Amino acid sequence: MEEHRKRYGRRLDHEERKRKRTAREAHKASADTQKMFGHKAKLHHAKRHAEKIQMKKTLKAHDERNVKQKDDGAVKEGALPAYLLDREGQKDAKALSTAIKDRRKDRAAKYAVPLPKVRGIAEEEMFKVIKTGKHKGKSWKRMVNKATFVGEGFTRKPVKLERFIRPMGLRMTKAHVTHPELKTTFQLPILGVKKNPQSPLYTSLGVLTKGTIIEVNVSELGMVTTGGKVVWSKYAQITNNPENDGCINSVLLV
Amino acid sequence: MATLLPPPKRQRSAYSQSLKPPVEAIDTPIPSVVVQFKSAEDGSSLGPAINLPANTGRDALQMLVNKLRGESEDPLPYAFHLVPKQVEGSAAPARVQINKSILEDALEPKVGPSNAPKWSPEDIFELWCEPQAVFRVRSVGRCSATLSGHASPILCCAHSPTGRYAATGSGDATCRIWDMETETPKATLSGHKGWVLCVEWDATEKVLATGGHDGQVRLWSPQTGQALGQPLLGHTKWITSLAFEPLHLTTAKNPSPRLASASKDGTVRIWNTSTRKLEFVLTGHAASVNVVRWGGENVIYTGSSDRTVKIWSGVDGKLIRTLSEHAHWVNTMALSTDFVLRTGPFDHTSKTPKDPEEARSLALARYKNVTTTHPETLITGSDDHTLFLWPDQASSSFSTTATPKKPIARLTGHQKQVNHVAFSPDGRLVASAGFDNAVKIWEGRTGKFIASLRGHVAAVYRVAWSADSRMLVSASKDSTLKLWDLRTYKIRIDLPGHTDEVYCVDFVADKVVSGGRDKTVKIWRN
Repeated sequence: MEEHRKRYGRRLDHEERKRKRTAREAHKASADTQKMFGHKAKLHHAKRHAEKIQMKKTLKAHDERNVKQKDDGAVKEGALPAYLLDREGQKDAKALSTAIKDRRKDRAAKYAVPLPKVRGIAEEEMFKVIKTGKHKGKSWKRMVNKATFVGEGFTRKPVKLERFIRPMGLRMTKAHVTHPELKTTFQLPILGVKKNPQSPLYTSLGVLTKGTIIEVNVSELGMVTTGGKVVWSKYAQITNNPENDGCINSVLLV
Repeated sequence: MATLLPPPKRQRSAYSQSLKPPVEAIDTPIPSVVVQFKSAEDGSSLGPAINLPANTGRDALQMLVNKLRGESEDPLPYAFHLVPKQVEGSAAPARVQINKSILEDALEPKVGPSNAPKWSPEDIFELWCEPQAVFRVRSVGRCSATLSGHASPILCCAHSPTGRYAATGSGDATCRIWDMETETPKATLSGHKGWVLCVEWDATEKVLATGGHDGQVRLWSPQTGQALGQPLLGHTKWITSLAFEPLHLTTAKNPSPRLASASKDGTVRIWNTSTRKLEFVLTGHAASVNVVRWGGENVIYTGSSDRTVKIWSGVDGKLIRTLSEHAHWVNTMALSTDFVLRTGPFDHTSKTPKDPEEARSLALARYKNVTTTHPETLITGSDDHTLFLWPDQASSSFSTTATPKKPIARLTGHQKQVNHVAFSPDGRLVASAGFDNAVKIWEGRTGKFIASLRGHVAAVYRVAWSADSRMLVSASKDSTLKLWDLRTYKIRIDLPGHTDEVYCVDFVADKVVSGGRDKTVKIWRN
């Protein structure tokens, strides 16, 4: 059909017929609606209902655009001094709103984290048993199945002494950290694992699972303390399953 | 392996220090030096060169200068500095301050960079002396009051000329007046329909003007806390800066000073504050006017985002000249007479003039006293990271050799935009605050670089001088204020306490008032 249309074009009265068809569309829809019954009618009416609401909304929006609204006199939020007003484009990652600070003041919220509960992880899931020895009879060695954070100066132990293997492919050094106020995400270097809620052993191994609190380097975000010092590191909580995704997504704890 | 002795204990306490045997004073002969006193005012020599022992203290030097000037009954305090010989390619500082004696500060400095200028006792020491304020402002050190009340960040603050009140403008569309003696709220001025971006006191403390984000200028009576008539309407965009006509330019016929308001819409409007009528409009800027100043010679200075500084006549609003050297927005501007114009008839003796006539004559006398030796100069700071120091722009002194369109100096050194600049009250120094975390000190007459005050870890928003020009306070994005000592060019005291960015600071009498994003006004005092 397309080939034909390309070669010979449309029939000469195509536009005319199209206009007429759309003009009569309401009539056809009405006729169809009247004839319809049963389940089919129900679905159709639901569809038409939604369509009509959308139409009414659009019409109202068009009307409002033409009518002059009275100013409600509300003062805008986010006041800035005159010398910073034209510099809005140069916004940086410092947003320590008073709301957050107030929230931090009550003690219960002090230890609140975005993910309060985590799924328990069985040891079988966490570790793979590595058989060693000439006849593969010994099984004291474990390989960590999850993503891990390994500090910069780490050297692996000799094979005979290495009880936990942390595979190179699952080692992570950077995390995507979302600032909850700014709704922006930065890729920041990980400094350490503060706490893995599963077990203190996993904390010391640096295992990164969902819900783990990690310490990230936020020096480039330019945050300052009330004492006027640059904040160097902050905590963040992991929100995804790094071993499945191959990356770490986390929320900054402010 | 030989046994390692443990390191000696750290001796920190004053007591343990006192237990140490006293260091034997080494008797070295004190060289005597030839000193020529020179006045930094006009460069003239004070008396003949004198032979002095090099360890003559600063007090003794002060006495000598006062003797040489023949002022025995009314001695003035002096600051002394040496100007090192400028060697090509060396980064020697522009001046060496003499705080103790020539011996300690110049001949044998204890600490200093390796390229510090070297003097020998054989040189003739040209000791430049600058008279300092006869009074001394007490240093601030603690936060005496945290005043809450504003519901939004505080955007601007200004002390009244006497320091009796302070006014703060906030994002909650109100302006509040605080009593500085009792440190309590005095009045809440509500009426604006947008953020209050700037507040300005007139020099007699009778009128307070506020400019808002809604483009309105409002006048208030600080005594009653009531609005003085209807708002001044006309600007189509927000107000960026306000300036009152200096008190000594008003006459008995028109006692109320006029008000200039600069706006983002690119115009400056001049209002009569008693009738609240528009007198004239200064149009000509192509972009937002960021700052307006009303000079003592009845000229209006405006700096704009269209990269120009324009000089207007205060009589009829005619454009006198356009200074277009800046390569980017002109953000800020200061006059060497800012302090005198702002405080009007009130000086450190806290006398109150009896009637407006006396106030006017007092203000004129103070203005004349400042401008006799050096006419009013202008400094502008810009987004192009530089500042320009301009010669006197007033029409009465065209006879001087300097052409008014040619800047005296281009002040380079900031690595980011310059946000604020302020002349010291005596007009000898200039402080500029930039987004590069530094405050820089320049010579007010020549524009030479003196020192860089580093210590803030974020952009510095505002600076304010103490009335005796010996201290400087800076407000920064890093939520602290810092007080700097102009004798040593070092930090004198750090004032943490705000929990967020500090947007404004003002220093009058011996109190500092500051406000910021954390919605509280803090008062700092001795």
